[in-house]
Amino acid sequence: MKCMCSIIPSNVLKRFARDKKLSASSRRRFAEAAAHETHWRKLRELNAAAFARAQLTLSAGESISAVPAVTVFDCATGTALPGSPVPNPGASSDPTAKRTFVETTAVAKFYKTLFGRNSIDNLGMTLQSSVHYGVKYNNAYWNGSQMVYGDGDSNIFVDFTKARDVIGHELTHGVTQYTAQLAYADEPGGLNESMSDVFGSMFRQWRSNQTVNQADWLIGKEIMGPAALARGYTCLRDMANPAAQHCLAPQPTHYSQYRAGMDPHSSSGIPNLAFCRAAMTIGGKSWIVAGRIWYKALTGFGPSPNLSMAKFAARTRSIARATRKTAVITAINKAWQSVGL
Amino acid sequence: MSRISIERLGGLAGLGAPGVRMVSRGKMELEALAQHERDALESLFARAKAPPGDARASLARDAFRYRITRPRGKGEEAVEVAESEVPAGLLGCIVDELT
Repeated sequence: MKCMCSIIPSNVLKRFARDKKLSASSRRRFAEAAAHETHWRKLRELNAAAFARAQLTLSAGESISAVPAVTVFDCATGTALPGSPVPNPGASSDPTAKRTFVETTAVAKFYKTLFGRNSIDNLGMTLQSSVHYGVKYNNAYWNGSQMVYGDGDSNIFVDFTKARDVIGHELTHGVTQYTAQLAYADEPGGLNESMSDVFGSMFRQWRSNQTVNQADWLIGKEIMGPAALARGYTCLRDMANPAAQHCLAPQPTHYSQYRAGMDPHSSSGIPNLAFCRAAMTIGGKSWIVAGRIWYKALTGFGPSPNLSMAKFAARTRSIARATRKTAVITAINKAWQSVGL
Repeated sequence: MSRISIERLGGLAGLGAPGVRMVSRGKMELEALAQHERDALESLFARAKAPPGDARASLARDAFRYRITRPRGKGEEAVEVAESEVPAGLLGCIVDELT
């Protein structure tokens, strides 16, 4: 299957459907494609994920890669994915491409070394990223198959690959997709976003070998542009103080503030704070105890698309009890209690 | 003349959520769009009247979505769509601002 990411606008499909220079059967197919566009787009996304898996399971004579390949593509300010392949990105003269390769490789090592996970799907899938997406594009995202990074407008935001936690955040959306499959709305949506902030922040701390006290717990500190900094916005979010004035996107700090339909980037503040408090109370490095508990809670229970925050908290409490360490059990319990769960 | 407004929502920063200190929006006259883009816009509003699909089906995370609003009778109507569906001419009128 080729061209997994090409999109033919509906108006073009309809124009082809009316083009008498094409055969009747071709015109009928274009008309049908336009009519089923919504369903086709959803299927395209699902097929992309399934195809990636099929490539691994159906390829004859090939074994699962022990170390995932890391590829980088250059969109050159366009929006067609994936863009042009960057040859040997680890040695690229483009600092964005090189940094993306280095940090994505590091995220793979983070998951493998700390959690025994072989890439996003635990089957060594290739980690694909596209950089220089769009013009002054103030965003980064996971599209269901790969990561996509904008350059920022150099005013509110700078190059989104400059933040290790952003790279870890986007990759973790892939991990969630292949494990708990948390939906992207309501409480599971908040948990989905929180998992990405938690493991993104943990990755950033791990890269600098920081303890929980050395960490600043800020999300997106390195992508804030001069205009944002001049206004006193030092980060997107603050896991230690979600409602802080220095956040571009302040969040609730207690479950009593949660409302159904909240943007997942808002409601994630509640479980973010729980993780931060648990890790700070336990002390040391966040990935040793708290990180492992959160990883098991995310990946150890199968698909849970409608998981509530309370049920996720219960999982972490259960995993903590299995450690038989009173300090850990108490830290996890009190962290959740402090945010109302 | 018919004025269209567009607001960019979601993304890594969660634009559009209460308290977010950044807005991303624009307005333009419908007539300023090329005909094929006006047709595309019309298709979006027409499709919005159909039964909604499962909003949870998309696997994209941190992606932008766009709310497009236009006058309708004495009021207005709005649709929310993915970035790939927004006419380029309309995307071009959006300005990001800190609040």
